[in-house]
Amino acid sequence: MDNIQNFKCPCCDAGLEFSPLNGKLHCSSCGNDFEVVAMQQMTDAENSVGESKFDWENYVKREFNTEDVNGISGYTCPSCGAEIMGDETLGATICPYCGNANIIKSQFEGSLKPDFIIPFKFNKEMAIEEFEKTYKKAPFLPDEFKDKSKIAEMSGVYVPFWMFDCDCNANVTYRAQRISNWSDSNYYYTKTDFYHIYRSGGLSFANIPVDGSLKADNTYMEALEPFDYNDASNFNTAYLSGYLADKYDVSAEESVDRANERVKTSTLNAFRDTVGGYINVVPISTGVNFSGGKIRYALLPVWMLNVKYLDKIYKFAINGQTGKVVGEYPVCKKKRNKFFMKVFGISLLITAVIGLFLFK
Amino acid sequence: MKKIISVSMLFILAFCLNFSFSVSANGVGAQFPIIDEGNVLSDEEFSEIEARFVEIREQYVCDIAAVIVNEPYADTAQQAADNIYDYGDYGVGENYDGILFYICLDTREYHFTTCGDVAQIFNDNALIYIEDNVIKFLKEDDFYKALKNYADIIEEVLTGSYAYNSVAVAGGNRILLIIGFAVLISLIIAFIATFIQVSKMKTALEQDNASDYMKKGSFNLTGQGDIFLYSHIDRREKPKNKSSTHISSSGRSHGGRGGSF
Repeated sequence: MDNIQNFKCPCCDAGLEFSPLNGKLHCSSCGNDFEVVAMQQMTDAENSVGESKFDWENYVKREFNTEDVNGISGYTCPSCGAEIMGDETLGATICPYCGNANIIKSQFEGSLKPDFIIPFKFNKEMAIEEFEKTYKKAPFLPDEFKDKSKIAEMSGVYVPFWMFDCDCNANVTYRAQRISNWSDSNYYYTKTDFYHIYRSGGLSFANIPVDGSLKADNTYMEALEPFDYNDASNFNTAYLSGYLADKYDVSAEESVDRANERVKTSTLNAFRDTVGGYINVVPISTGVNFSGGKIRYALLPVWMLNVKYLDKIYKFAINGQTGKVVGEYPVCKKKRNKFFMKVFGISLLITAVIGLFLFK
Repeated sequence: MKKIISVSMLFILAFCLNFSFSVSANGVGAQFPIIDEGNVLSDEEFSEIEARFVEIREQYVCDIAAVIVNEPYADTAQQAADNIYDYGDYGVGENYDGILFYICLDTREYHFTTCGDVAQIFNDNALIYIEDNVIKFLKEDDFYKALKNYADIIEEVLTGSYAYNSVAVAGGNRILLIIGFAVLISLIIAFIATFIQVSKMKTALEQDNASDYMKKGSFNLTGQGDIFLYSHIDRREKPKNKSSTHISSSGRSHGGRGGSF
């Protein structure tokens, strides 16, 4: 004998009973009636939403060959412990993460060979030019910043990233409302229609970057996105000339959670965009499944710079491919307060005039 | 000294004086702004209330009256109030502007009747406001308090300062309200604008999604459904800014509102 299915009231969660009087499922707790077909569809949709599952292929490691590492040296920073590699003829000895000027050249030890590298497109002068262009747009930047600030350290670094590809399938259910209003001579009426909505489908992602270096600030690295992967090339030590390359110290397994988080958010946003014409749309259940997960290891170009202004160091990063500048600028309180008073004054004038007409 | 007059005597007096063709700016009822057949007010209370009614009538050119009877003067309180107003010759000017408060002690019914141009001022909202502040005292048989409040609120309504009409704000309160409104809104706007500008000073922000990495054309909806569950209707009574008017037995248009206490 088939199991008897029990339906629960979507309003108050009490059990529903079939009412022979009207052929509907009746809730004796809140008094609402529901079509049997609608409740069956709703239950089927909810049952199809399972728990989220994440399934990634293991990363297939590639090791450097002897020829690959010819001309590469390792460097360690005694101050912050960064382990970086660079051209063995590299003249610069400043650590790109902590600014220590005494990094030590060491034997290059085997590291994973990147699956691809995006070479620098912006050299140092071009990067500084982009930086100057961008800081001029900062609304509350102190006027002396241009004259008194000094780029204390600037290094071009290939930052290690884990790149994630995946296909994503999701089932999402929502509760939503539609509201209509009308009136007659005596009353205003508001009718609220309640809906149960479900969506299922899939989408694919490619090259989601998660930085694999503990030293590189994750927030800065994400803020530098996007990179244009059309410029990606097979790794060649020639690209390192004049630059440093960090070795990964965050494994792919440790990085995957961040990728999962971003993919899930994007998937749910894409599904939410398909629910139109409603208000108060609230997700009830979400199930996200990943498949075809691929992980690759890449080196992406970043200019790290520390700017000294009034005895304080301000960190910035510049996308070595696109020239995008990110960071945190000093705020001139005088400029900020002046702006506040200006806006307050103009608003006061306008709202006072509105008030004169509103309060007769 | 408390005037001892009944409604019946008032009718006779009004009838006689109207037949004598005497011309008076005020009707006969103006001489008797308050009638207390039930003797519920002391002499002092009666004099005080009467003086107050006269003061309001002279200041605002609007008759204000109250009639307390032992037994009903008509089938309904509304008819009784209208008849006393019309045949008792209440009302100022050619439109008989005024308001009368009828109280029947036997049936414990009351009715406010209005006439003339002031019927638009004493609309349903205003009468509800008067009821809210007067009837509670009738229920306690505190007729003095009820009539005192009645006089105060009539004056409040006539000066245009009563709180029920949210658009009408009088005198110094208006200036304060405008200043308060302008300052509050301006502060909010200034804070929001400054916050937006300050947030532009920090561009190192993490990405919360991976929309830049979605493969174009890969989004595919395999199932969707919008299932209607149920409806719920709320209704709200419309505030009545208009007066509900009717024609009395004399043929005049009256507004008004009443009930029981």
